[in-house]
Amino acid sequence: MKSLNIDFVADKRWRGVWAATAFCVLCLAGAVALYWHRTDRVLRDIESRTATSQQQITQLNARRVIVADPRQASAEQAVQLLRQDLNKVFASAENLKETGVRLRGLTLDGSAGALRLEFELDAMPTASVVTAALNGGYENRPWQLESVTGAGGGGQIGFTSAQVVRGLWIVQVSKL
Amino acid sequence: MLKAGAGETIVSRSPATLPLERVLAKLADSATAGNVVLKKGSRLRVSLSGAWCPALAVTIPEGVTRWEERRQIALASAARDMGTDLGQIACEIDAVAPGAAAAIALPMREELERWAMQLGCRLVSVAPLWATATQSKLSRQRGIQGLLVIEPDAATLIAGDGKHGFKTTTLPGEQDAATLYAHSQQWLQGLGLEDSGFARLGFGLTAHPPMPTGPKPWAGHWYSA
Repeated sequence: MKSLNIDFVADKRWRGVWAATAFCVLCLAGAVALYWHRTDRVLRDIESRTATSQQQITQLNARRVIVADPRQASAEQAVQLLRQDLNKVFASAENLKETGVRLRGLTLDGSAGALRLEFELDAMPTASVVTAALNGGYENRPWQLESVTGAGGGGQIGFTSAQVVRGLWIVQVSKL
Repeated sequence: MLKAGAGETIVSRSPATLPLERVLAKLADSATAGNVVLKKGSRLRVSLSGAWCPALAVTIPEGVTRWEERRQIALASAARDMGTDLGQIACEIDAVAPGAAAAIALPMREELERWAMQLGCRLVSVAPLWATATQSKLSRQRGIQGLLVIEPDAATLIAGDGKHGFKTTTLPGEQDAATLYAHSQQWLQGLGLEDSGFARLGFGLTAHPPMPTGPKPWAGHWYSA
């Protein structure tokens, strides 16, 4: 048979156990709260420092003066020139075998991407022949006669001077 | 009866009609006369006989498992059985075993507390002696289903229902052996229990030979009935 345990006085030993348990729980809760408080304070400190640093970075960025590189433009131009294919230009000039036509000057305007050829012509009508020869093989006719100037006699000394003209042809290198 | 530590038991006989206050005062006087000194702050454990604290059968409805609810039901049941008000008695039940309850008059408990205070002792326990008897090796032996506790002023029958429940009843007053035997047999038959699983413990005011299977409190006063 099982035993009966009946008492009219409450066992106070359990009160001690409960009190000790409650004390331990309170201590634990206190320790956890203290740890949490410290951690929270450290986190807030870190956040505050981060915000201050961010603010300083923003201020420094605002003060920063962007100094333009003086070589930037020339470097870009150099890159552009290097990219240009001038073989076709030279080929056009070299392939021109018309008589009475002499190449006198070649000017490359890198910034505008334009190339000018100056020919000395014995006769004015030759100009159209030169234009046709330069545009040979191109449907869009990139070469254009920019100007024609009379150069006067000055050709060969001692000979009857014929009318010598100078024609200036221009082409956009990118169209070739 | 009063016993301090390993000292001799002081027995003070009083008429049943004597108020508790005077019974206790007489007991204290007997202790003083017998050179029994109760140290201040010592723990005082009171065992009440079946006449002072009868065992009551309480039926707890199924589904009621909360301790306080079971206690209130036991109190109401005890007050009805004893024909008194709820505020006049104190009733206690076992923490796990339903069915058994013990009740005492509230003035008695207050008187005991006052007496303990006068003696300078701490009252740590007020328990029925029949409940203490169920904690003995004898009643906890395998096959034992019931226990009869015979005290000089009452006899208490306790039986387990095989699970956790108990059936209890107290016969107040000094019982003669024949009547007690007949009553216990009838009670056992009513519960469907056999006599072989029934143990009998007696408690005497005079010292008896030590009983190894008897309860430890008041050892030397228990005997196999």
